[in-house]
Amino acid sequence: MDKSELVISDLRAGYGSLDILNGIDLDVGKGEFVALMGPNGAGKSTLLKTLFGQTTIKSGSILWQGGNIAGLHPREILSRGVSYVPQGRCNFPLMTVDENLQVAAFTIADDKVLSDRDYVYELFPALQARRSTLAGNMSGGEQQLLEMAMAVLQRPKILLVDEPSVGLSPTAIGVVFEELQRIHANGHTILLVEQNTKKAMAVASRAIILRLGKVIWDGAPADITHDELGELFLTGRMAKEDASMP
Amino acid sequence: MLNLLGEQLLNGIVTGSVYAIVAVGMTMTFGVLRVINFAHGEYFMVGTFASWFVIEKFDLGYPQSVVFAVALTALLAIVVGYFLMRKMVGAPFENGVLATLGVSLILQNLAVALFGGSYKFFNGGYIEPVELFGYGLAQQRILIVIVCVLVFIGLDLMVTYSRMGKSMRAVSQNIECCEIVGIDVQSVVLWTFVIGASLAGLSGVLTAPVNVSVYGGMGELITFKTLPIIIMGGLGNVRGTLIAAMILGIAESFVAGFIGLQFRDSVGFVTLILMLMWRPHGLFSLQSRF
Ligand SMILES: Nc1ncnc2c1ncn2[C@@H]1O[C@H](COP(=O)(O)OP(=O)(O)O)[C@@H](O)[C@H]1O
Ligand SMILES: [Mg+2]
Repeated sequence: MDKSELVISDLRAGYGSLDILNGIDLDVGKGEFVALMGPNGAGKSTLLKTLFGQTTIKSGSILWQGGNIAGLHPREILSRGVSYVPQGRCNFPLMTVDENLQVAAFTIADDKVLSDRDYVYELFPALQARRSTLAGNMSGGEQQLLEMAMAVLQRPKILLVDEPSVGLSPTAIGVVFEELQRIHANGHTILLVEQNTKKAMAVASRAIILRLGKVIWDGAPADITHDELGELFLTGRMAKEDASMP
Repeated sequence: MLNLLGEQLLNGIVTGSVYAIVAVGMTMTFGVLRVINFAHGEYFMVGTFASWFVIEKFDLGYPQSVVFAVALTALLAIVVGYFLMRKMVGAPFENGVLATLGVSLILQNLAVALFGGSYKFFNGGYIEPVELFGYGLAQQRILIVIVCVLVFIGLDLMVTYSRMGKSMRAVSQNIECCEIVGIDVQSVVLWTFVIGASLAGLSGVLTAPVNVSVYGGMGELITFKTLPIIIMGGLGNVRGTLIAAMILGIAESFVAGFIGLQFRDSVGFVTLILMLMWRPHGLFSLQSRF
Protein backbone atom coordinates (compact mmCIF):
# COMPACT_ATOMS: atom_id res chain seq x y z
CA MET A 1 0.00 0.00 0.00
CA ASP A 2 1.30 3.42 -1.00
CA LYS A 3 0.93 6.38 1.30
CA SER A 4 -2.57 7.69 1.87
CA GLU A 5 -4.13 9.60 -1.02
CA LEU A 6 -7.30 10.41 0.85
CA VAL A 7 -7.09 11.70 4.41
CA ILE A 8 -10.35 12.58 6.13
CA SER A 9 -9.98 14.35 9.48
CA ASP A 10 -12.67 15.11 12.05
CA LEU A 11 -15.28 15.48 9.31
CA ARG A 12 -18.68 16.77 10.41
CA ALA A 13 -21.26 17.06 7.66
CA GLY A 14 -24.92 16.51 6.86
CA TYR A 15 -27.96 18.11 5.31
CA GLY A 16 -28.54 21.76 6.13
CA SER A 17 -28.19 22.17 9.87
CA LEU A 18 -28.63 18.45 10.47
CA ASP A 19 -25.31 16.72 11.13
CA ILE A 20 -25.07 13.07 10.07
CA LEU A 21 -21.31 12.56 10.14
CA ASN A 22 -20.04 13.25 13.65
CA GLY A 23 -16.29 13.46 13.29
CA ILE A 24 -15.02 10.94 10.73
CA ASP A 25 -11.31 10.12 10.66
CA LEU A 26 -10.27 7.91 7.80
CA ASP A 27 -7.30 7.33 5.48
CA VAL A 28 -7.42 5.52 2.16
CA GLY A 29 -4.22 4.53 0.39
CA LYS A 30 -3.61 4.34 -3.32
CA GLY A 31 -4.82 1.07 -4.82
CA GLU A 32 -6.86 0.03 -1.81
CA PHE A 33 -10.25 -1.65 -2.06
CA VAL A 34 -12.14 -0.44 0.97
CA ALA A 35 -15.53 -1.84 1.97
CA LEU A 36 -17.53 0.64 4.01
CA MET A 37 -20.19 -1.11 6.05
CA GLY A 38 -22.58 -0.38 8.85
CA PRO A 39 -26.24 -0.49 9.85
CA ASN A 40 -28.93 1.40 7.95
CA GLY A 41 -28.77 5.13 8.56
CA ALA A 42 -25.17 5.00 9.79
CA GLY A 43 -24.21 7.70 7.32
CA LYS A 44 -22.41 5.60 4.67
CA SER A 45 -24.18 7.21 1.74
CA THR A 46 -23.80 10.59 3.37
CA LEU A 47 -20.04 10.05 3.60
CA LEU A 48 -19.79 9.27 -0.13
CA LYS A 49 -21.99 12.26 -1.00
CA THR A 50 -19.83 14.44 1.21
CA LEU A 51 -16.66 13.27 -0.53
CA PHE A 52 -18.32 14.18 -3.84
CA GLY A 53 -19.35 17.64 -2.63
CA GLN A 54 -23.10 17.08 -2.31
CA THR A 55 -23.68 17.80 1.38
CA THR A 56 -23.15 20.63 3.83
CA ILE A 57 -19.79 20.40 5.57
CA LYS A 58 -19.67 21.86 9.06
CA SER A 59 -16.03 21.24 9.94
CA GLY A 60 -13.04 19.02 9.29
CA SER A 61 -11.04 18.45 6.15
CA ILE A 62 -10.88 16.08 3.20
CA LEU A 63 -7.33 15.99 1.88
CA TRP A 64 -7.21 14.42 -1.56
CA GLN A 65 -3.78 14.06 -3.11
CA GLY A 66 -2.56 16.81 -0.85
CA GLY A 67 -5.32 19.39 -1.50
CA ASN A 68 -8.41 20.04 0.59
CA ILE A 69 -11.49 19.23 -1.48
CA ALA A 70 -13.99 19.87 1.32
CA GLY A 71 -16.61 22.30 0.06
CA LEU A 72 -15.62 22.17 -3.60
CA HIS A 73 -18.27 21.87 -6.30
CA PRO A 74 -18.91 18.28 -7.53
CA ARG A 75 -17.66 19.16 -11.05
CA GLU A 76 -14.37 20.33 -9.57
CA ILE A 77 -14.07 17.19 -7.44
CA LEU A 78 -14.83 15.03 -10.49
CA SER A 79 -12.11 16.77 -12.47
CA ARG A 80 -9.65 15.90 -9.73
CA GLY A 81 -10.19 12.21 -10.30
CA VAL A 82 -12.98 11.33 -7.89
CA SER A 83 -15.86 9.50 -9.58
CA TYR A 84 -19.09 8.51 -7.91
CA VAL A 85 -21.70 5.83 -8.61
CA PRO A 86 -24.67 6.74 -6.40
CA GLN A 87 -27.21 4.32 -5.01
CA GLY A 88 -30.19 3.51 -7.25
CA ARG A 89 -30.57 4.16 -10.95
CA CYS A 90 -28.41 6.93 -12.30
CA ASN A 91 -28.23 6.85 -16.10
CA PHE A 92 -29.98 8.46 -19.07
CA PRO A 93 -32.74 5.96 -19.87
CA LEU A 94 -33.65 7.16 -23.37
CA MET A 95 -30.07 7.14 -24.59
CA THR A 96 -28.20 4.12 -25.80
CA VAL A 97 -25.44 2.51 -23.78
CA ASP A 98 -22.88 4.09 -26.06
CA GLU A 99 -24.46 7.53 -25.76
CA ASN A 100 -24.52 7.21 -21.98
CA LEU A 101 -20.80 6.51 -22.07
CA GLN A 102 -20.21 9.47 -24.36
CA VAL A 103 -22.09 11.76 -21.99
CA ALA A 104 -20.15 10.39 -19.03
CA ALA A 105 -16.94 11.22 -20.88
CA PHE A 106 -17.74 14.89 -21.47
CA THR A 107 -15.16 15.75 -18.82
CA ILE A 108 -12.47 14.07 -20.95
CA ALA A 109 -10.78 15.67 -23.95
CA ASP A 110 -12.48 14.70 -27.23
CA ASP A 111 -9.62 12.84 -28.87
CA LYS A 112 -9.23 10.44 -25.95
CA VAL A 113 -12.88 9.50 -25.63
CA LEU A 114 -12.93 6.87 -28.34
CA SER A 115 -9.94 4.90 -27.13
CA ASP A 116 -11.23 5.21 -23.58
CA ARG A 117 -14.60 3.78 -24.61
CA ASP A 118 -12.79 0.78 -26.05
CA TYR A 119 -10.97 0.39 -22.73
CA VAL A 120 -14.29 0.40 -20.90
CA TYR A 121 -15.90 -2.07 -23.29
CA GLU A 122 -12.96 -4.38 -22.73
CA LEU A 123 -13.47 -4.07 -19.01
CA PHE A 124 -17.24 -4.60 -19.35
CA PRO A 125 -17.76 -7.22 -22.06
CA ALA A 126 -21.45 -7.46 -21.14
CA LEU A 127 -21.96 -3.87 -22.28
CA GLN A 128 -20.18 -4.28 -25.57
CA ALA A 129 -23.04 -6.37 -26.92
CA ARG A 130 -25.57 -3.82 -25.66
CA ARG A 131 -23.94 -0.72 -27.16
CA SER A 132 -27.01 0.40 -29.08
CA THR A 133 -29.64 -0.64 -26.56
CA LEU A 134 -31.48 2.12 -24.72
CA ALA A 135 -30.25 2.14 -21.12
CA GLY A 136 -33.79 2.17 -19.77
CA ASN A 137 -34.61 -1.04 -21.64
CA MET A 138 -31.91 -3.05 -19.88
CA SER A 139 -32.19 -5.10 -16.71
CA GLY A 140 -31.28 -3.57 -13.36
CA GLY A 141 -28.02 -5.49 -13.29
CA GLU A 142 -27.00 -4.28 -16.73
CA GLN A 143 -27.88 -0.71 -15.78
CA GLN A 144 -25.73 -1.00 -12.67
CA LEU A 145 -22.84 -2.20 -14.84
CA LEU A 146 -23.42 0.72 -17.19
CA GLU A 147 -23.31 3.20 -14.31
CA MET A 148 -20.06 1.72 -13.06
CA ALA A 149 -18.69 1.80 -16.59
CA MET A 150 -19.66 5.46 -16.92
CA ALA A 151 -17.66 6.25 -13.80
CA VAL A 152 -14.68 4.12 -14.86
CA LEU A 153 -14.63 5.90 -18.23
CA GLN A 154 -13.81 9.09 -16.37
CA ARG A 155 -10.54 7.35 -15.45
CA PRO A 156 -10.99 8.08 -11.76
CA LYS A 157 -8.13 7.86 -9.30
CA ILE A 158 -10.73 6.79 -6.75
CA LEU A 159 -14.13 5.29 -7.42
CA LEU A 160 -16.93 5.76 -4.87
CA VAL A 161 -19.63 3.10 -5.29
CA ASP A 162 -22.82 3.08 -3.21
CA GLU A 163 -24.64 -0.24 -2.78
CA PRO A 164 -24.34 -1.59 -6.31
CA SER A 165 -26.03 -4.88 -5.38
CA VAL A 166 -29.33 -3.45 -4.15
CA GLY A 167 -32.30 -4.94 -5.95
CA LEU A 168 -30.26 -7.22 -8.21
CA SER A 169 -30.61 -10.96 -8.77
CA PRO A 170 -27.92 -13.21 -7.26
CA THR A 171 -26.42 -13.75 -10.71
CA ALA A 172 -26.31 -10.04 -11.42
CA ILE A 173 -24.73 -9.40 -8.02
CA GLY A 174 -22.03 -11.92 -8.91
CA VAL A 175 -21.29 -10.09 -12.15
CA VAL A 176 -21.20 -6.71 -10.43
CA PHE A 177 -18.67 -7.95 -7.89
CA GLU A 178 -16.54 -9.60 -10.54
CA GLU A 179 -16.55 -6.29 -12.36
CA LEU A 180 -15.54 -4.39 -9.23
CA GLN A 181 -12.58 -6.73 -8.78
CA ARG A 182 -11.60 -6.28 -12.39
CA ILE A 183 -11.76 -2.48 -12.04
CA HIS A 184 -9.61 -2.71 -8.93
CA ALA A 185 -7.13 -4.99 -10.65
CA ASN A 186 -6.81 -2.33 -13.37
CA GLY A 187 -5.40 0.06 -10.81
CA HIS A 188 -8.40 2.04 -9.58
CA THR A 189 -8.78 2.74 -5.88
CA ILE A 190 -12.27 1.77 -4.71
CA LEU A 191 -14.40 2.88 -1.77
CA LEU A 192 -17.43 0.61 -1.77
CA VAL A 193 -20.51 0.92 0.42
CA GLU A 194 -22.26 -2.43 0.63
CA GLN A 195 -25.09 -4.08 2.60
CA ASN A 196 -24.06 -7.49 1.37
CA THR A 197 -21.24 -7.81 3.90
CA LYS A 198 -20.28 -11.36 2.91
CA LYS A 199 -19.60 -10.34 -0.68
CA ALA A 200 -17.95 -7.07 0.30
CA MET A 201 -15.60 -8.72 2.81
CA ALA A 202 -14.65 -11.31 0.21
CA VAL A 203 -13.40 -8.76 -2.33
CA ALA A 204 -12.17 -5.87 -0.19
CA SER A 205 -8.64 -5.41 1.10
CA ARG A 206 -9.91 -3.44 4.06
CA ALA A 207 -13.12 -3.12 6.01
CA ILE A 208 -14.43 -0.02 7.75
CA ILE A 209 -17.51 0.01 9.93
CA LEU A 210 -19.53 3.13 10.40
CA ARG A 211 -22.15 3.59 13.11
CA LEU A 212 -24.00 6.78 14.07
CA GLY A 213 -21.75 8.84 11.86
CA LYS A 214 -18.47 7.62 13.33
CA VAL A 215 -15.89 5.00 12.34
CA ILE A 216 -16.07 2.25 14.96
CA TRP A 217 -13.90 -0.42 13.37
CA ASP A 218 -11.11 -0.38 10.80
CA GLY A 219 -9.03 -3.37 9.75
CA ALA A 220 -8.48 -6.30 7.45
CA PRO A 221 -11.58 -8.36 6.56
CA ALA A 222 -9.73 -11.46 7.82
CA ASP A 223 -9.56 -9.95 11.30
CA ILE A 224 -13.27 -9.96 11.92
CA THR A 225 -15.87 -12.76 11.83
CA HIS A 226 -19.39 -12.30 10.61
CA ASP A 227 -20.78 -12.75 14.09
CA GLU A 228 -18.53 -10.02 15.37
CA LEU A 229 -19.57 -7.80 12.49
CA GLY A 230 -23.23 -8.31 13.34
CA GLU A 231 -22.54 -7.50 16.96
CA LEU A 232 -20.74 -4.30 15.98
CA PHE A 233 -23.63 -3.24 13.74
CA LEU A 234 -26.10 -3.83 16.56
CA THR A 235 -24.32 -2.55 19.64
CA GLY A 236 -21.31 -0.64 18.36
CA ARG A 237 -19.08 -2.74 20.64
CA MET A 238 -17.54 -6.19 20.66
CA ALA A 239 -17.59 -8.38 23.75
CA LYS A 240 -14.02 -9.47 23.06
CA GLU A 241 -11.99 -6.27 22.69
CA ASP A 242 -10.07 -6.11 19.44
CA ALA A 243 -6.58 -4.73 19.00
CA SER A 244 -7.45 -2.97 15.77
CA MET A 245 -10.14 -0.87 17.41
CA PRO A 246 -9.24 2.77 16.98
CA MET B 1 -63.17 23.13 -54.93
CA LEU B 2 -60.02 21.09 -55.41
CA ASN B 3 -58.23 24.32 -56.14
CA LEU B 4 -59.32 25.83 -52.87
CA LEU B 5 -58.33 22.66 -51.03
CA GLY B 6 -54.80 22.79 -52.41
CA GLU B 7 -54.48 26.45 -51.64
CA GLN B 8 -55.58 26.00 -48.05
CA LEU B 9 -53.18 23.11 -47.69
CA LEU B 10 -50.26 25.22 -48.90
CA ASN B 11 -51.27 28.08 -46.61
CA GLY B 12 -51.54 25.62 -43.77
CA ILE B 13 -48.04 24.32 -44.35
CA VAL B 14 -46.68 27.88 -44.31
CA THR B 15 -48.53 28.68 -41.07
CA GLY B 16 -47.41 25.35 -39.64
CA SER B 17 -43.80 26.21 -40.46
CA VAL B 18 -44.06 29.49 -38.57
CA TYR B 19 -45.59 27.74 -35.56
CA ALA B 20 -43.00 24.98 -35.70
CA ILE B 21 -40.03 27.36 -35.58
CA VAL B 22 -41.54 29.21 -32.61
CA ALA B 23 -42.82 26.18 -30.73
CA VAL B 24 -39.66 24.11 -30.92
CA GLY B 25 -37.82 26.62 -28.74
CA MET B 26 -40.52 26.51 -26.10
CA THR B 27 -40.58 22.72 -26.06
CA MET B 28 -36.77 22.48 -25.80
CA THR B 29 -36.74 24.93 -22.91
CA PHE B 30 -39.42 22.87 -21.22
CA GLY B 31 -37.39 19.73 -21.83
CA VAL B 32 -34.39 20.94 -19.85
CA LEU B 33 -36.10 23.20 -17.32
CA ARG B 34 -39.66 21.83 -16.90
CA VAL B 35 -40.87 25.40 -17.18
CA ILE B 36 -43.57 26.63 -19.57
CA ASN B 37 -42.10 29.88 -20.80
CA PHE B 38 -45.08 32.23 -20.94
CA ALA B 39 -42.84 34.94 -22.38
CA HIS B 40 -41.85 32.84 -25.38
CA GLY B 41 -44.07 34.76 -27.81
CA GLU B 42 -42.44 38.00 -26.70
CA TYR B 43 -39.15 36.94 -28.33
CA PHE B 44 -41.13 36.55 -31.56
CA MET B 45 -42.36 40.12 -30.97
CA VAL B 46 -38.86 41.43 -30.17
CA GLY B 47 -37.47 39.90 -33.37
CA THR B 48 -40.23 41.51 -35.42
CA PHE B 49 -39.79 44.91 -33.76
CA ALA B 50 -36.01 44.83 -34.14
CA SER B 51 -36.31 44.15 -37.84
CA TRP B 52 -39.03 46.78 -38.34
CA PHE B 53 -36.95 49.35 -36.44
CA VAL B 54 -33.75 49.02 -38.44
CA ILE B 55 -35.67 48.94 -41.72
CA GLU B 56 -37.62 52.10 -40.83
CA LYS B 57 -34.94 54.11 -39.02
CA PHE B 58 -31.72 52.99 -40.68
CA ASP B 59 -33.05 51.99 -44.04
CA LEU B 60 -31.44 48.57 -43.75
CA GLY B 61 -32.33 45.84 -46.22
CA TYR B 62 -34.55 42.98 -45.14
CA PRO B 63 -31.78 40.33 -45.05
CA GLN B 64 -29.58 42.55 -42.85
CA SER B 65 -32.55 43.26 -40.62
CA VAL B 66 -33.05 39.51 -40.15
CA VAL B 67 -29.48 39.12 -38.95
CA PHE B 68 -29.85 42.10 -36.63
CA ALA B 69 -33.18 40.89 -35.26
CA VAL B 70 -31.96 37.38 -34.47
CA ALA B 71 -28.75 38.73 -32.90
CA LEU B 72 -30.68 41.17 -30.72
CA THR B 73 -33.16 38.49 -29.64
CA ALA B 74 -30.25 36.20 -28.78
CA LEU B 75 -28.59 38.95 -26.76
CA LEU B 76 -31.80 39.62 -24.86
CA ALA B 77 -32.18 35.89 -24.25
CA ILE B 78 -28.62 35.68 -22.92
CA VAL B 79 -29.44 38.40 -20.39
CA VAL B 80 -32.80 36.93 -19.35
CA GLY B 81 -31.33 33.42 -19.41
CA TYR B 82 -28.33 34.35 -17.32
CA PHE B 83 -30.17 36.31 -14.64
CA LEU B 84 -33.43 34.40 -14.58
CA MET B 85 -33.98 31.18 -16.53
CA ARG B 86 -30.90 29.27 -15.39
CA LYS B 87 -31.64 30.21 -11.77
CA MET B 88 -34.92 28.31 -12.05
CA VAL B 89 -33.19 24.92 -12.14
CA GLY B 90 -34.80 22.93 -9.34
CA ALA B 91 -37.22 25.72 -8.40
CA PRO B 92 -40.92 24.96 -7.81
CA PHE B 93 -43.18 25.02 -10.88
CA GLU B 94 -45.06 28.19 -9.77
CA ASN B 95 -41.82 30.17 -9.81
CA GLY B 96 -41.42 29.49 -13.51
CA VAL B 97 -45.00 30.52 -14.27
CA LEU B 98 -44.75 33.77 -12.32
CA ALA B 99 -41.26 34.70 -13.50
CA THR B 100 -41.97 34.13 -17.19
CA LEU B 101 -45.35 35.90 -16.99
CA GLY B 102 -43.44 38.79 -15.43
CA VAL B 103 -40.92 38.84 -18.27
CA SER B 104 -43.79 38.76 -20.75
CA LEU B 105 -45.42 41.84 -19.19
CA ILE B 106 -42.13 43.72 -19.00
CA LEU B 107 -41.21 43.06 -22.64
CA GLN B 108 -44.69 43.91 -23.93
CA ASN B 109 -44.80 47.17 -22.03
CA LEU B 110 -41.25 48.01 -22.95
CA ALA B 111 -42.18 47.71 -26.62
CA VAL B 112 -45.18 49.99 -26.10
CA ALA B 113 -43.12 52.48 -24.07
CA LEU B 114 -40.38 52.63 -26.69
CA PHE B 115 -42.41 52.61 -29.87
CA GLY B 116 -45.95 53.54 -28.84
CA GLY B 117 -49.07 51.41 -28.71
CA SER B 118 -50.19 51.85 -32.32
CA TYR B 119 -49.94 49.18 -35.00
CA LYS B 120 -46.91 49.53 -37.23
CA PHE B 121 -46.67 48.58 -40.85
CA PHE B 122 -43.87 46.17 -41.70
CA ASN B 123 -42.29 47.08 -44.98
CA GLY B 124 -39.84 44.44 -46.13
CA GLY B 125 -39.40 40.90 -47.35
CA TYR B 126 -40.22 39.22 -50.62
CA ILE B 127 -43.92 39.51 -51.25
CA GLU B 128 -44.05 39.09 -55.02
CA PRO B 129 -46.07 36.00 -55.84
CA VAL B 130 -44.64 33.06 -57.74
CA GLU B 131 -46.40 30.10 -59.29
CA LEU B 132 -46.16 26.83 -57.40
CA PHE B 133 -48.23 23.74 -58.38
CA GLY B 134 -50.53 26.13 -60.17
CA TYR B 135 -51.09 28.36 -57.13
CA GLY B 136 -49.83 31.88 -56.59
CA LEU B 137 -47.68 32.04 -53.46
CA ALA B 138 -45.59 34.91 -52.10
CA GLN B 139 -41.85 34.16 -52.22
CA GLN B 140 -41.66 34.95 -48.52
CA ARG B 141 -43.99 32.06 -47.76
CA ILE B 142 -41.77 29.66 -49.65
CA LEU B 143 -38.77 31.06 -47.77
CA ILE B 144 -40.54 30.35 -44.47
CA VAL B 145 -41.07 26.70 -45.37
CA ILE B 146 -37.45 26.29 -46.53
CA VAL B 147 -36.09 27.87 -43.34
CA CYS B 148 -38.34 25.63 -41.27
CA VAL B 149 -36.99 22.53 -42.99
CA LEU B 150 -33.40 23.70 -42.49
CA VAL B 151 -34.01 24.61 -38.83
CA PHE B 152 -35.41 21.17 -38.06
CA ILE B 153 -32.68 19.31 -39.91
CA GLY B 154 -30.15 21.39 -38.00
CA LEU B 155 -31.82 20.83 -34.63
CA ASP B 156 -32.16 17.12 -35.26
CA LEU B 157 -28.48 16.81 -36.07
CA MET B 158 -27.52 18.91 -33.08
CA VAL B 159 -29.69 16.98 -30.62
CA THR B 160 -28.53 13.63 -31.97
CA TYR B 161 -24.82 14.16 -32.48
CA SER B 162 -23.39 17.24 -30.79
CA ARG B 163 -22.13 17.53 -27.24
CA MET B 164 -24.61 20.29 -26.59
CA GLY B 165 -27.47 18.18 -27.94
CA LYS B 166 -26.52 15.16 -25.89
CA SER B 167 -26.21 17.34 -22.80
CA MET B 168 -29.68 18.70 -23.49
CA ARG B 169 -31.09 15.20 -23.69
CA ALA B 170 -29.20 14.22 -20.55
CA VAL B 171 -30.62 17.14 -18.58
CA SER B 172 -34.13 16.42 -19.82
CA GLN B 173 -33.91 12.70 -18.97
CA ASN B 174 -32.22 12.71 -15.58
CA ILE B 175 -31.23 16.04 -14.12
CA GLU B 176 -30.03 14.59 -10.78
CA CYS B 177 -27.55 12.40 -12.56
CA CYS B 178 -25.95 15.25 -14.53
CA GLU B 179 -23.84 16.31 -11.56
CA ILE B 180 -22.36 12.81 -11.42
CA VAL B 181 -21.08 13.00 -14.99
CA GLY B 182 -20.03 16.63 -14.72
CA ILE B 183 -22.65 18.30 -16.92
CA ASP B 184 -23.17 21.97 -16.05
CA VAL B 185 -26.98 21.99 -15.95
CA GLN B 186 -27.31 25.77 -15.62
CA SER B 187 -25.21 26.37 -18.68
CA VAL B 188 -27.17 23.78 -20.69
CA VAL B 189 -30.41 25.49 -19.63
CA LEU B 190 -29.03 28.90 -20.56
CA TRP B 191 -27.93 27.92 -24.08
CA THR B 192 -31.02 25.83 -24.79
CA PHE B 193 -33.11 28.84 -23.86
CA VAL B 194 -31.00 31.16 -26.02
CA ILE B 195 -31.36 28.86 -29.04
CA GLY B 196 -35.11 28.59 -28.48
CA ALA B 197 -35.68 32.31 -28.01
CA SER B 198 -33.54 33.16 -31.04
CA LEU B 199 -35.63 30.80 -33.15
CA ALA B 200 -38.76 32.58 -31.92
CA GLY B 201 -37.15 35.86 -32.99
CA LEU B 202 -36.28 34.37 -36.37
CA SER B 203 -39.84 33.17 -36.81
CA GLY B 204 -41.04 36.69 -36.03
CA VAL B 205 -38.94 38.37 -38.71
CA LEU B 206 -39.78 35.70 -41.25
CA THR B 207 -43.50 36.15 -40.70
CA ALA B 208 -43.51 39.94 -40.51
CA PRO B 209 -43.65 40.55 -44.30
CA VAL B 210 -46.70 38.29 -44.50
CA ASN B 211 -48.45 39.42 -41.30
CA VAL B 212 -47.57 43.05 -41.99
CA SER B 213 -48.70 44.52 -38.65
CA VAL B 214 -46.28 44.98 -35.75
CA TYR B 215 -47.45 45.75 -32.19
CA GLY B 216 -46.42 45.17 -28.57
CA GLY B 217 -49.03 42.53 -27.78
CA MET B 218 -48.40 40.38 -30.87
CA GLY B 219 -46.41 37.79 -28.89
CA GLU B 220 -49.36 36.85 -26.71
CA LEU B 221 -51.27 35.16 -29.49
CA ILE B 222 -48.09 33.28 -30.45
CA THR B 223 -47.60 31.92 -26.92
CA PHE B 224 -51.27 30.98 -26.89
CA LYS B 225 -50.91 29.10 -30.20
CA THR B 226 -47.67 27.45 -29.11
CA LEU B 227 -49.06 25.87 -25.94
CA PRO B 228 -51.38 23.31 -27.58
CA ILE B 229 -48.66 22.51 -30.14
CA ILE B 230 -46.02 21.62 -27.59
CA ILE B 231 -48.47 19.56 -25.56
CA MET B 232 -49.65 17.70 -28.66
CA GLY B 233 -46.08 17.18 -29.81
CA GLY B 234 -45.16 15.70 -26.44
CA LEU B 235 -43.43 18.26 -24.19
CA GLY B 236 -39.73 18.31 -24.97
CA ASN B 237 -40.11 16.43 -28.26
CA VAL B 238 -38.50 18.18 -31.24
CA ARG B 239 -39.87 16.06 -34.10
CA GLY B 240 -43.28 15.78 -32.46
CA THR B 241 -43.44 19.57 -32.34
CA LEU B 242 -42.91 19.83 -36.09
CA ILE B 243 -45.74 17.39 -36.79
CA ALA B 244 -48.09 18.98 -34.25
CA ALA B 245 -47.35 22.45 -35.66
CA MET B 246 -48.16 21.24 -39.18
CA ILE B 247 -51.41 19.65 -38.00
CA LEU B 248 -52.43 22.87 -36.30
CA GLY B 249 -51.36 25.10 -39.20
CA ILE B 250 -53.28 23.03 -41.75
CA ALA B 251 -56.33 22.63 -39.49
CA GLU B 252 -56.44 26.40 -38.92
CA SER B 253 -56.17 27.09 -42.59
CA PHE B 254 -59.02 24.73 -43.40
CA VAL B 255 -61.23 26.11 -40.66
CA ALA B 256 -60.54 29.66 -41.81
CA GLY B 257 -61.21 28.77 -45.43
CA PHE B 258 -64.26 26.54 -45.10
CA ILE B 259 -65.94 27.41 -41.79
CA GLY B 260 -65.05 30.98 -40.99
CA LEU B 261 -62.07 33.11 -40.07
CA GLN B 262 -63.55 33.92 -36.64
CA PHE B 263 -63.13 30.28 -35.57
CA ARG B 264 -59.47 30.04 -36.57
CA ASP B 265 -57.83 30.94 -33.28
CA SER B 266 -59.82 28.36 -31.32
CA VAL B 267 -58.62 25.50 -33.51
CA GLY B 268 -55.50 24.90 -31.42
CA PHE B 269 -57.21 24.11 -28.16
CA VAL B 270 -60.09 22.24 -29.79
CA THR B 271 -57.58 20.02 -31.63
CA LEU B 272 -55.68 19.57 -28.38
CA ILE B 273 -58.78 18.48 -26.48
CA LEU B 274 -59.78 16.03 -29.21
CA MET B 275 -56.27 14.61 -29.34
CA LEU B 276 -55.97 14.23 -25.58
CA MET B 277 -59.24 12.30 -25.54
CA TRP B 278 -57.73 9.91 -28.07
CA ARG B 279 -54.12 9.80 -26.79
CA PRO B 280 -53.76 11.21 -23.29
CA HIS B 281 -49.96 11.13 -23.40
CA GLY B 282 -49.61 13.19 -26.54
CA LEU B 283 -49.18 12.06 -30.12
CA PHE B 284 -45.77 10.58 -29.54
CA SER B 285 -44.30 8.19 -27.05
CA LEU B 286 -41.57 9.26 -24.68
CA GLN B 287 -39.19 7.12 -26.70
CA SER B 288 -38.79 9.81 -29.30
CA ARG B 289 -38.34 12.58 -26.78
CA PHE B 290 -35.24 14.60 -27.39
N1 LIG C 1 -31.28 14.27 1.80
C1 LIG C 1 -31.36 14.08 3.14
N2 LIG C 1 -31.85 15.03 3.94
C2 LIG C 1 -31.94 14.85 5.28
N3 LIG C 1 -31.56 13.73 5.90
C3 LIG C 1 -31.07 12.73 5.16
C4 LIG C 1 -30.93 12.84 3.75
N4 LIG C 1 -30.40 11.70 3.27
C5 LIG C 1 -30.21 10.91 4.34
N5 LIG C 1 -30.59 11.52 5.47
C6 LIG C 1 -30.50 10.97 6.83
O1 LIG C 1 -29.13 10.75 7.11
C7 LIG C 1 -28.97 9.60 7.90
C8 LIG C 1 -27.92 8.73 7.26
O2 LIG C 1 -28.39 8.32 6.01
P1 LIG C 1 -27.47 7.55 4.96
O3 LIG C 1 -26.19 8.26 4.84
O4 LIG C 1 -28.26 7.37 3.74
O5 LIG C 1 -27.26 6.17 5.70
P2 LIG C 1 -26.73 4.77 5.15
O6 LIG C 1 -26.32 4.98 3.75
O7 LIG C 1 -25.61 4.42 6.05
O8 LIG C 1 -27.86 3.83 5.28
C9 LIG C 1 -30.33 8.94 7.98
O9 LIG C 1 -30.86 9.21 9.28
C10 LIG C 1 -31.13 9.61 6.93
O10 LIG C 1 -32.46 9.72 7.31
MG1 LIG D 1 -27.11 4.30 1.92
